[in-house]
Amino acid sequence: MSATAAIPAREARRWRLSPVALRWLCLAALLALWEVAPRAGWVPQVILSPPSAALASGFAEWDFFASALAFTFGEILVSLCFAYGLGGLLGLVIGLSPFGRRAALPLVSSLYALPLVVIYPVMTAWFGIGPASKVWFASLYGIFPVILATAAGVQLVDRNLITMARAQGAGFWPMMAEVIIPAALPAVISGLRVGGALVTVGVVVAEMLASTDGIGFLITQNRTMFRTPQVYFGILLVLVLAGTLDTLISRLERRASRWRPQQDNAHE
Amino acid sequence: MRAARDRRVLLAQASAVLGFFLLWEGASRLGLADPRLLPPPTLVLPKVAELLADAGFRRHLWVTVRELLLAGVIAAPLGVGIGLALAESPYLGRAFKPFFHFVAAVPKSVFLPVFILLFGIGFGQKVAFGVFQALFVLVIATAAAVAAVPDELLRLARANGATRWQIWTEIHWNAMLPLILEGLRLGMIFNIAGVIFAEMYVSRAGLGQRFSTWGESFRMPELFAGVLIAAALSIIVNETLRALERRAGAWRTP
Amino acid sequence: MSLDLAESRQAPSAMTQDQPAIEVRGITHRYQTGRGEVLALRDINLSVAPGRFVGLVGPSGCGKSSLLMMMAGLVRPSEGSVAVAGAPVTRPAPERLGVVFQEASLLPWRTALENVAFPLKLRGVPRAEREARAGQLLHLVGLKGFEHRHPHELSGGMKQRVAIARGFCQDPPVLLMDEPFAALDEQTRMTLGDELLRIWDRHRKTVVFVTHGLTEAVYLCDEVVVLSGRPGEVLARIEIDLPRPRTWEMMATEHFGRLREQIWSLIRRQA
Repeated sequence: MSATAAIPAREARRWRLSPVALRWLCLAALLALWEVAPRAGWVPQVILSPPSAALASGFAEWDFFASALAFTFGEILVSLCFAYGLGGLLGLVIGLSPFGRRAALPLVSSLYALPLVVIYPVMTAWFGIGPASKVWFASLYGIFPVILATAAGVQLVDRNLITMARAQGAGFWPMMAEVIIPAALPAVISGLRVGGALVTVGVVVAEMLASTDGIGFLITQNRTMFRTPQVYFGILLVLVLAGTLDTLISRLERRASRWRPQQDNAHE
Repeated sequence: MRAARDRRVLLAQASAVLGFFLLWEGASRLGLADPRLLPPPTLVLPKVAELLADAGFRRHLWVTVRELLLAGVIAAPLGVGIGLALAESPYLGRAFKPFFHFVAAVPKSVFLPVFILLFGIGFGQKVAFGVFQALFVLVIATAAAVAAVPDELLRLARANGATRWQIWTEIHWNAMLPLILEGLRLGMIFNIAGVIFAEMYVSRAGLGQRFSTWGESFRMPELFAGVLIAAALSIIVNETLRALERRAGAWRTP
Repeated sequence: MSLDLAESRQAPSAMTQDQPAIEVRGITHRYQTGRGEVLALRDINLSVAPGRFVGLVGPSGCGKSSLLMMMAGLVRPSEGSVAVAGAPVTRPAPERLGVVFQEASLLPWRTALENVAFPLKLRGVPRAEREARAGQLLHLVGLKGFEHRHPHELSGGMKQRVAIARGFCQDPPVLLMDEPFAALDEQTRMTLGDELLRIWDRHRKTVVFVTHGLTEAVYLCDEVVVLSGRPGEVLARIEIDLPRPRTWEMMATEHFGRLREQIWSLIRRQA
């Protein structure tokens, strides 16, 4: 954010706003419009609820939302374990074998391109509408980017490093621990990031479609009862949840690639 | 050698797919899974043909296809246009690119209730939701495509006195097309998933609506057949765009 | 003429030991490509006495690097064998053979010190001990003060110094170097060559040094082995009878030029 202050005087002297200021101004205007439009009656409040009303009614029912959030969070954690553990393992196996890469990777990326939502009704038919169907569905939903990123990361390990370690007599496990895994780690973590987002969406989408608890369930329930502010509050909570997870993983990402030359971050 | 290797890969892939169906059939026939919950492929595949022959189902399929196409037709020029604007104007780019990157990373499916509140539960709402799902990845892909045009080629063209128009048709177009097509492909994947999800959530017609109904009433053969049809639909779209992408990007290093 | 000189000068102490430091016996190598079988090396026989600095030169694609990889036990030849101090090499044996590659091949997530200590870590040497040893070696290659830098913070020449220090880390009697200075600029290459000679002079390891730089080969080596184009065969072994320590002035001498010319004429006929 220091960039905002650092925009050179040359830029400020002109009548034009700095781009960053323009961005925040636009967002602020959008937020203001969102607040004012329903209050002024330009849009019915049942369609668009002012953010202040959404926050107020959300916190008024905080107990409900908190317990739903905890429930959803639990499902996400379990699904993450499956998606990360199994996905990482499969990606490692596929990435290590040249034949696996050529034969299995195209299959996995084709599966990744399928609209996986369609199997959720199968999941509920099999596992009921409790947490089990959410975990199955979300794990499956999030596993593909983890597999693909891990395989790609393993594949892109510098061959020279592998030869060097072989010349030092490194066996399978030291090779894994000292060369392959650290080299693949940045790619793997970016896969975890995408996978984590998909797992979160997967759980919430599944809850929205059929369930008896969780934040997705609350969103759907409030929508059918036309309690619009609560719907917006629920959506906001999901975004906060996804954002928190993403921030955590990207912090991990930065830690894992500390040894690399600093990349210039173009985004403020 | 190369051809032999490719054949082996194809063989392995074919046998993996075949093995999957055999396992499915076996699990169902041998009673490892309840055949009412996991109908064997020998029951599901004829069901696919039956559904496709059924005028009622075809009407639902047609609704979905129309929603997808319309959303694609709206999202493609819009996304490419915004992407070009962001890439060509450094000012707009600096102001709004981070915003698009942010929204692209946000899970968009949770906004579905907002679309219902705004647009109701009909055809228009599905199209709008499809556009919303597809748009952001396209914007980002287009902006990235412009940035990926090699500077030295632009310098070379300018040094040789190419006009602005020639630079665009000779260099930008060729260098950008594969990346934009990739964005379009990803956008269509999100579009398909979004529209079918919207239909499953609340709707009166469409593939997704059928899936929900079949799932709730435990009509598993129909449900599995429907899943196969939806998969085939998205594979066709994905592979067509991928083939175009490969052709446009044949000059790239493999 | 230089060959005559070489013969007259034969009998330095190192040559008289009967056990060669490294011995290549009848190596022939073939490999498969899309267009059929390629004969890369044919019946290579080579023995290097302990403490000698031997260069391996030849036209591009003659298989000199492959031959070095076979000596290191990284590639198995189709026929023939390699022995170090009489014991056969069938797999990498880092305590007997140190290898330095063309690319420095440093682990980018480890510091210079940790990279040098890497071979010892694989052997399970305790941290304090291996880092003390690595610190001495970094000092030896002139990188004192750079112990805790990561590779991306080092120049190309410094990275290669780290790689050389790593090659010395287990104190192997034989050091195999595969075009270690090829990726560096001319000035760095010359400086590092001098450094290498200085270190070698202290430790007197047996060195096999693959290079495509003829000046470098003459300047550094006791003997230069010239390989032919594919299939690679030993064309000649040329004794470099320049006195040690080598100095930059020697490069300007007529004798240096003649030796260089002799090697070049052998290679040129192949190309």
